[in-house]
Amino acid sequence: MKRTAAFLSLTLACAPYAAAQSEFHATNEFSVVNNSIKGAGKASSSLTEGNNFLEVLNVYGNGSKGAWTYNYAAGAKATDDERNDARRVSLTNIQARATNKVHTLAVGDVFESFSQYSLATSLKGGSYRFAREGSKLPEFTAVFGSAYSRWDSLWRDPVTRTVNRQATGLRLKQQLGPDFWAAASYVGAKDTARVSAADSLYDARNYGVDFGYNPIPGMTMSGEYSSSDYDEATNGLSEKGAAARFEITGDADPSRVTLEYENVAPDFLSPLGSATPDRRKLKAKWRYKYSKRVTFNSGLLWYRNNLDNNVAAGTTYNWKPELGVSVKRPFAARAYSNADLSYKFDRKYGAGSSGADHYLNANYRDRFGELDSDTNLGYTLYRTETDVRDASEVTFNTSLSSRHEVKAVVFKPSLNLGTWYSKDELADETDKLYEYSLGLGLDAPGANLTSDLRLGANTLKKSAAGTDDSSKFFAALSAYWRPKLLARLNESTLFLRAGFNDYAFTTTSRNFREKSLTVGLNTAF
Amino acid sequence: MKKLLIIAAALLISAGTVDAKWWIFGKSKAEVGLKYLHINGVSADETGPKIKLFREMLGADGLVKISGRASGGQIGSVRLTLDDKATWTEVKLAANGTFEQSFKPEAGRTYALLIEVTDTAGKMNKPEETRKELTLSEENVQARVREALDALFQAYNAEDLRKFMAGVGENFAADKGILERAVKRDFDALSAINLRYTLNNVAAGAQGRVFASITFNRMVMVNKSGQTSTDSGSTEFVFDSKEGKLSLFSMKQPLMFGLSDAENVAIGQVLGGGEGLVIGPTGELGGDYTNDSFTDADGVASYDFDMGTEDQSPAGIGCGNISSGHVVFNLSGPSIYPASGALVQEIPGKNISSVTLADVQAITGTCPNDNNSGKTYGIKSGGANYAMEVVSITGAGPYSVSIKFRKF
Repeated sequence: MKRTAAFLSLTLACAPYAAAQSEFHATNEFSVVNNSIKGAGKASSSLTEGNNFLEVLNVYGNGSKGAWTYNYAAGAKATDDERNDARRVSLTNIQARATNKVHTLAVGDVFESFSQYSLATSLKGGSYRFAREGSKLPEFTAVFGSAYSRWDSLWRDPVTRTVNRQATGLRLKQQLGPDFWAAASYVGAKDTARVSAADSLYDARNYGVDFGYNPIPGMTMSGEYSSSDYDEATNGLSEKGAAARFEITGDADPSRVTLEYENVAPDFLSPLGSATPDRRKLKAKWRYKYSKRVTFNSGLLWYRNNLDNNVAAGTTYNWKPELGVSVKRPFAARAYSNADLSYKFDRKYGAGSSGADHYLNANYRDRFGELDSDTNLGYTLYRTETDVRDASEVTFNTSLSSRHEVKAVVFKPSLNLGTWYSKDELADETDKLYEYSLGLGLDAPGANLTSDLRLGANTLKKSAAGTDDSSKFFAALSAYWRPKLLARLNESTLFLRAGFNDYAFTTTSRNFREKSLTVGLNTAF
Repeated sequence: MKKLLIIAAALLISAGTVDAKWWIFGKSKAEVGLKYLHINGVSADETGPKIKLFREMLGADGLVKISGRASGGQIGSVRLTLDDKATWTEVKLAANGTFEQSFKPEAGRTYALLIEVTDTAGKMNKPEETRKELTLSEENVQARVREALDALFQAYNAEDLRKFMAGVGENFAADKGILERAVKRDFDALSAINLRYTLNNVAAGAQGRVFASITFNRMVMVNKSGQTSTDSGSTEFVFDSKEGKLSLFSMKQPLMFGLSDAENVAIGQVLGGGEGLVIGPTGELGGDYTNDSFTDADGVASYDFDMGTEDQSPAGIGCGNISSGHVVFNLSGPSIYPASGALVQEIPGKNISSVTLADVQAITGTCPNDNNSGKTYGIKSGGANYAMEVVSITGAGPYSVSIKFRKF
């Protein structure tokens, strides 16, 4: 690992100077924040009290030497606020790539997304790709590395260490005709270095094939089949499973149609890919542009589990149909009017559960003179036959906003009002939430200044005994300024963010107030 | 599986031969045009009219590759323009109508791409129908990831479902319809949402996808209980760049969005990341936890929280003097003993559903001198984090103990 790090450092250090034709860029953001939290309930705050800083640096560039071209990127973060990062200083990114149009090498952060079931995550390691344009030779990719989400996990930092998932992947992709390609992949994942005694340790192998096909203009077909074979050391498991998916999309005005089928066996495992085990899914979507003004959207999703009939509780089935219509200019005289109406239904039954939820939503947007409006009304009915939930909920939100230019200054006032009402039939309780906010944006393009001030409150009223009513008052200011003094630093921006939140509860010992002030400088060159 | 393969094969064969007017609604396949067009490997059907490219998404040679296939009889020529028809370049055409052309874009400049297909009889397509505006962003892909995440976080904080879903890709891996309903349920269950994040890691790769890992910090008000809950940790996202901007493709647990259907929304779990906040079917917070109960005669019982088993006569008792991976209840004491190096401390005001990873990570105590019913404890052991709620302790030898246990 030390050798890899040394190589990467050397690559990065040399890259900007390796050739005459090269570019180098960097961005840096430094900010300091002061948080003050008062009140008996201050332990509930998600802010870190006191003064803290955050520094984020990124460099990237590219160049060429002989037949080879290369690019590179690296980044680091430093902070003394554990809520920003568990580590005080951390390497966020490091990557270098070089190619001569046939061979491509990459080291550092490599994200070779093979296919959904095989490899769909980033690795800390290296990759090689062979692809010769105009040749009948297949495209070949090999990748290796560790599936850590952070670099410091790689050197077993005590704060961020995790199980080490070592990955190896191979992929062969062949163009089998002008409209058809197919690929075969192998991905192995082996876990080591358990952090706690209960951590699962997988040794998994996934073998898969996938394809893409364009049979006629506007139509695409894609599919994948993957087989997994894994051993799990902690619980002594050895399982095999398979997953398959197939999708057809037809897209040409006035319609776009998508049909999907997926079948993932209960014992299928894809440690580095994306799959929900034990699921058979069917999905159909149809978007139809009835006219220039009216578009219909419809969809149906069905899925079930318990594919091998081994779930003791039985099979759970889900039906999720939906229908929506979007209308531009529903009122011919109103040029900026838009209306959306949608209905969604969730039906879930089996395995001791039975639910039928209805979601109805209406949205209307329009402009009245210089006033833009956006109004939303929603009704949801959550209903189960097993006495888990039986509630109806109504949400209403409206926002009004405007834009006014006064000499060199642009004012953008706004008003938001909202309410939420929930009636729980099982508990016979009612909850209500009211909220409002006022905003004022102020832009001075000539002075390179943009700012936004927002203040408002929300109040939650609960009828259940023993529960608290609560309210939150908030005010937030953000301002971004690019002063001419800093013009030499290209895209440098000074920014300020200030916030005040006052939380009040019926139980006053839970009350607390937060004040936060952040100032920073963002630089790019 | 055999049936699936037969159906797939039948569809493949039939789709290539039938006139698919049922979904094209009158569009004839004999028209001169493009059978398909790919811009840097991404189908033009799946992009918007404006495509923003990032250096990290180009090959190491910095080239944008335009490839496609002309259709509609005997094709005579294919030309493309990058400057809105001011100049045209004739591209090399294979006998089967396929073509490929690359160019090196300049950062910040917009290229108006149109493709003109002409058959040997002089019949042409409508180039305007192929129009795409390509821009190579001067920004680093990290800036675009932050923009995409900022939009999602702001919309979620503001409980604006329409704006939130605008940031989710059509191909969202766990299904966009499932996520939309789950987020709607989140908004009904939560208020005063405050999510913040900093980026840990970004990697751009094949198929125009971008991987991002973040450290998050979150506070929410749970409407059902009227309680606030905070947590922090690390999680991962994958973004798609097919629609002219970065849109959400997949998320792992701990989830940021769609907590009401975490099982179906998340695609896997971040290594060492735990489950995070999830919302149960009633609209209250509730992660997966195990219920356990046991009886003990002599008042000293050891609980193996990895295996969920009890030992009524543990080998050692006392603070730091017990087996790793266990807690020992001194029921007559009362007190709770952890193993050497492990921590146990009460987390006041929380139960097993509302306690968060951040609560557990904050504990510093070792041997609480109590184990009363109704209290919740955080346990840090062997690099892992746990929460335990002592539901009840009854009797006076034999004792009956009921606990809830949760691993993050």
